[in-house]
Amino acid sequence: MMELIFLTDEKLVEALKKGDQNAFKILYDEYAPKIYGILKNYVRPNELEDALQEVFVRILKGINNFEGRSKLSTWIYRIAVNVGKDYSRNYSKEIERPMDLDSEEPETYNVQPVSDTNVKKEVFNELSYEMILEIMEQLDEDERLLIKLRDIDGLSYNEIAEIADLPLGTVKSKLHYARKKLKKLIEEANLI
Amino acid sequence: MNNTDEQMWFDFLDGKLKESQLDEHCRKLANLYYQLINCYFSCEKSILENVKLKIASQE
Repeated sequence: MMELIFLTDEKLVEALKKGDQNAFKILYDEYAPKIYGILKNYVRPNELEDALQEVFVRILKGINNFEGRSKLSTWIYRIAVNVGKDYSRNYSKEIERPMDLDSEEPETYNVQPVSDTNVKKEVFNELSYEMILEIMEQLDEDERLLIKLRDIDGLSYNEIAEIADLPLGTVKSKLHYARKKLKKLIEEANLI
Repeated sequence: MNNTDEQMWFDFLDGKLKESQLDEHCRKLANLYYQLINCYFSCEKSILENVKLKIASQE
């Protein structure tokens, strides 16, 4: 078996193109948590699993055409953002559609996390997960995306601009505004 | 938070200042900020495992 743990992107892509299972596992372990965070911006909790699967299906289908013109991470993040936006657009269409009064199926969406997570149990004492959702969902999708990419994943402004398909200056100004807005929300929640 | 503190806050987020250079208020704010976003974007391991198995079974 090839030693893939310390592979460069180039070697990893090469192995993926050959259908190497070990390469897939490395890719998945590295990117699935990051992609999940991206999708959370756009996708309802009960559809996150399907959306995550769709991102990886697109990655595996598209990897043969990946030519390395952008970084592998940028290409993957872009796929994740595109899948997320597809879901979000579909939700918008649902809202625009007139309500089906004959339907017996109640349209309820679980806005709470689907299952237990170790992280939730480690949440700081003074702030409930519900409050976190309430605060974060006052930011719009782009604002959350920029905060995720910069303040959690630590990407450069240039890479974020490429992923979010926004001019560099717009990324900087929107991120500044998003951070300021989130700071204000934290302060208004009297958590300090 | 006054303008100086706010600038300190933004400089910290952009890596221009270390945590030890922040005042008490900014340090608390930074701590909450990162805990909040890390919690919000955290993963559910069961979902990650489910998807991994599904994709592996498709290959």
